[in-house]
Amino acid sequence: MTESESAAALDLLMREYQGGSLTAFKALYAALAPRVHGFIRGRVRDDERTSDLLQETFLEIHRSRHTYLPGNSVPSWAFGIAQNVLLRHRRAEHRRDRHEVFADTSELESGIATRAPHLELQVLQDALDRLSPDARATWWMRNIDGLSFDSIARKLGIAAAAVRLRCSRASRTVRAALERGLEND
Amino acid sequence: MTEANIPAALLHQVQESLEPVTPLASPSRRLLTFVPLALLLFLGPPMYYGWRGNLSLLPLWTSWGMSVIESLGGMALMALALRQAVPGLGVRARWIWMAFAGAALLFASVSLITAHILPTPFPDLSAWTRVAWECVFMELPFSLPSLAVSAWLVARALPTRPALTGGVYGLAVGLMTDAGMRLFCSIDQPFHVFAAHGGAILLGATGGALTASIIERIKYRALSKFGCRRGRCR
Repeated sequence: MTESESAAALDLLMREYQGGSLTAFKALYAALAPRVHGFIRGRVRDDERTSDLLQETFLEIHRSRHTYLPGNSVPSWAFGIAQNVLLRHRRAEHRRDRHEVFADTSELESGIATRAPHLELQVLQDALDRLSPDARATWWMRNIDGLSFDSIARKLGIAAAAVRLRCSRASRTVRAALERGLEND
Repeated sequence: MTEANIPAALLHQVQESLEPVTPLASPSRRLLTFVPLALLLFLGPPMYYGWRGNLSLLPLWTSWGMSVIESLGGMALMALALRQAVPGLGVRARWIWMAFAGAALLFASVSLITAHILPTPFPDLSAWTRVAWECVFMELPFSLPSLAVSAWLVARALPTRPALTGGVYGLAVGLMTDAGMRLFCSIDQPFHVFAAHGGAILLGATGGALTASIIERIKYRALSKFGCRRGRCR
């Protein structure tokens, strides 16, 4: 497929997506996700954060699908949205009270240290150690502190949808690590 | 890539709100909706407050001609703001700063040329504050509604740099309002023009930047909280 044919195909998919086609969304995701991932990865240089931002970008693409003007370049539009998400993320990071986040993380570490031996959950501690500090803090706030997705989102300065994705991914990692740990025991 | 690669949470959210949406009109078509307002900003102040007493003393190209140029400059900035608000169509930030510089140059040139052609004495210094504030406040009934319409037009899209985009449409409204105000205000003394009229333009740009930033923050919070409901994501 030539470049112009590919551009025309993406344009057609985008029109179908605007018309409400899930198949078109899936095809667009397949075509755009690797390129958008590369775009974000080049600016963030952190795999987990890149993955979060990729999902947030696709959520924003979905919310803002009406802003695509038929006939224009779909990748440029998607990169524009990715840039928007990146800048928003940076602004949120800038606004976020770093001390509060550090306090949360240290609170989390001491919480694990004190509660885990008492509850004989060394295996959980090991599982949580596998997570990045961001993912661990999110998982802890959700599953131990019992905060809502919205509260966590406000605390971390990211979208609630991104918190959901981060929690679900962290839970999967923890579950897998727990299963492995229990098997070893 | 297959469906399995799409995270379940994302797919669920998309499936939940996949109603058809109407694509946004192109920036040039949306600019057309601003034309009646531009005309109102151009003719409104002199028709409502009265034409400047010394209008006949100015050559046509200086009075009407320069106002038309200033108004067109404002429309060009509005076009830039509407374009900037659409993902993938935006220009680099340095071009926007150049547009700001161009607008300042246009305003300064129009004001200085007019002052050179028809030097007007400035009223008593004690009246300075009153005159300056009058010119600022008399612009507000015209500029505020236009600012609101511009904010709405831009907010329907997704500006990547809301403050900068807002600054551009605020500046555009300020320039277009000044194009009309200079057909009403008979004081061409540069100090008054730069302080009062220039101040009003700066106020418009600041107001636009603040409005756009606040709107985008509200939009983002609302979307984060409630997600896309029934496909109405604007």
